[in-house]
Amino acid sequence: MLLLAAMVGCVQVEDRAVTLSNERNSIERTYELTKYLDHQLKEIKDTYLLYLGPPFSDPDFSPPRPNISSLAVPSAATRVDLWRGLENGARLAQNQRAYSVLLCAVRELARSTLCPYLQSSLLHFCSGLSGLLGSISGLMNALGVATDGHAPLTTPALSPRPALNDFTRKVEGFWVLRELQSWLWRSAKDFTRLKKRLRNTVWSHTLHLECAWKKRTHPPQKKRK
Amino acid sequence: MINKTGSAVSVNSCLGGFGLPEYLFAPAFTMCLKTGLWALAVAAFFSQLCCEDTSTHPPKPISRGIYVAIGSSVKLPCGDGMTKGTEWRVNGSMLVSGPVLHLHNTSLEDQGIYTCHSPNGGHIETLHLWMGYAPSPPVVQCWSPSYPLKAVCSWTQTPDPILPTYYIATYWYPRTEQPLVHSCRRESDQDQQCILEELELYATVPHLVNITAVNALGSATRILPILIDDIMKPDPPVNVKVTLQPGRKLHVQWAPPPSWPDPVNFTLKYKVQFQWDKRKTASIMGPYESLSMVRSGLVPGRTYHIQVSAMDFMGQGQSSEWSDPVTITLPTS
Repeated sequence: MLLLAAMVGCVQVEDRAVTLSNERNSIERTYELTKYLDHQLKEIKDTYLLYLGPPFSDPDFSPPRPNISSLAVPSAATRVDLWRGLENGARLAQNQRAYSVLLCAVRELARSTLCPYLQSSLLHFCSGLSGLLGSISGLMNALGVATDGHAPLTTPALSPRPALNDFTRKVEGFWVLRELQSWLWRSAKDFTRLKKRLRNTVWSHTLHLECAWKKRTHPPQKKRK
Repeated sequence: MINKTGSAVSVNSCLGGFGLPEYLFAPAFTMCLKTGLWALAVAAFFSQLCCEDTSTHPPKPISRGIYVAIGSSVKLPCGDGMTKGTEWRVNGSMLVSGPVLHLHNTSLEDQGIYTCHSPNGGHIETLHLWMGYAPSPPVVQCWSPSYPLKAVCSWTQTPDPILPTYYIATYWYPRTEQPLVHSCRRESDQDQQCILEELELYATVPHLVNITAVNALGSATRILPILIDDIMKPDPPVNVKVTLQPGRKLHVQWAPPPSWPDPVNFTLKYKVQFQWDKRKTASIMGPYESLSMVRSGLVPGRTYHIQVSAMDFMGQGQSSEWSDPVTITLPTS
């Protein structure tokens, strides 16, 4: 009976270690997807700024950020001490909220783009963003963190305006891509930190498993009188 | 008074020997006279200390310093600028006669000590003339070798002002709740480099760095917007070691720069450069996230110079400079 109990305990611990290892693999895939999207965004951004034309295409141009509801993206900006102290769940939740808004914003950007090549690139990018969002939600479920549910597909993040020569609309588009860039940079660091934290958790559970296994195979011997 | 025989002699008997009127010898008058003589003596003594006799001693020359912008013209009056017969000298040599010294299209060579002299050679004024430039808006560069904790800004002035110039360095992040102006830390007011320490990461709105140069001829300001994540630039990797392995392979290993505070969370990637043929030919391998690599297929007898550089793993910012080269020659056999 004692042996059976030890075996069940070992299996439970092993299950937990395997689960954590799976989560870590999932974070690794999410991290790689983030890097891929960042790489894609670099190319799309250059093309989009040329499409907008001057002054947006000028290297040092930076218009003031409009204070409008259509750009209600949670800011990626943070101080390093606050960033370090974020719990795993809170870290993932911030990412999920941001990409929910950004996905809608980029979809609207694609819809209003007249250049077919650029529109196709933006829509392809949206697929990647959608995948990232799904991956984050999956991680949150695995870690037992409450999610906000699926992002609404038709929420208009940008005010609908027909004319692309509307300067304000161009400024909005400029800022959507800038916010997206900041978030991808931030997310890569977020997932790196999550990976390290979960690796430490897996390691501590692995040690626990080894200890339990040793106790089962080499029980402490009783002293002879 | 004491006479030749050594006995005391009164003043009155001295005076009586000169045939003067009797009332002059009355005790009250004598006392009054003595007091008066003492008062005159004391007054004469103190007048030597505090009262200058201008009829015999000339006024002290005026001494002042003037800062002049190179290329400008300047008029330097001697005193009131109207006294005729004065002359200006520079470093002791006569320069021009006249109460006003005109210097046109000044240059650095005009710097010196000018003295103005009266017709009789008296020294009226000494003028230290300092030549230089007013500050121009500093050319500022910022980078972050210690991301995410610190960034560094350094600046230069073109042309060099020559005159002593001090700088005011501050930075500001437009945080909505409480925007604060921070002082950019330096060792002294004349240092041309400072350190930013309270940084906002992943910001879409830039920090604003304000560098103001001030000297005697004026001031100039530069405001530089920076995104901290864009200006990452690690220092070069350290402890680069190259060892020969069997099969004409080189094992290269290195360590992250000690100035990079958190290589665990803020991972770096590395490139390795191999140079040979007196460094005319090079190949670059990587990037690697590990701290070592092995290169095979090397040529026997060839000398290789190996360097490593680091960069943020997402490719943000710039690569570091190359580390100091490590040289190794493969054996011919």
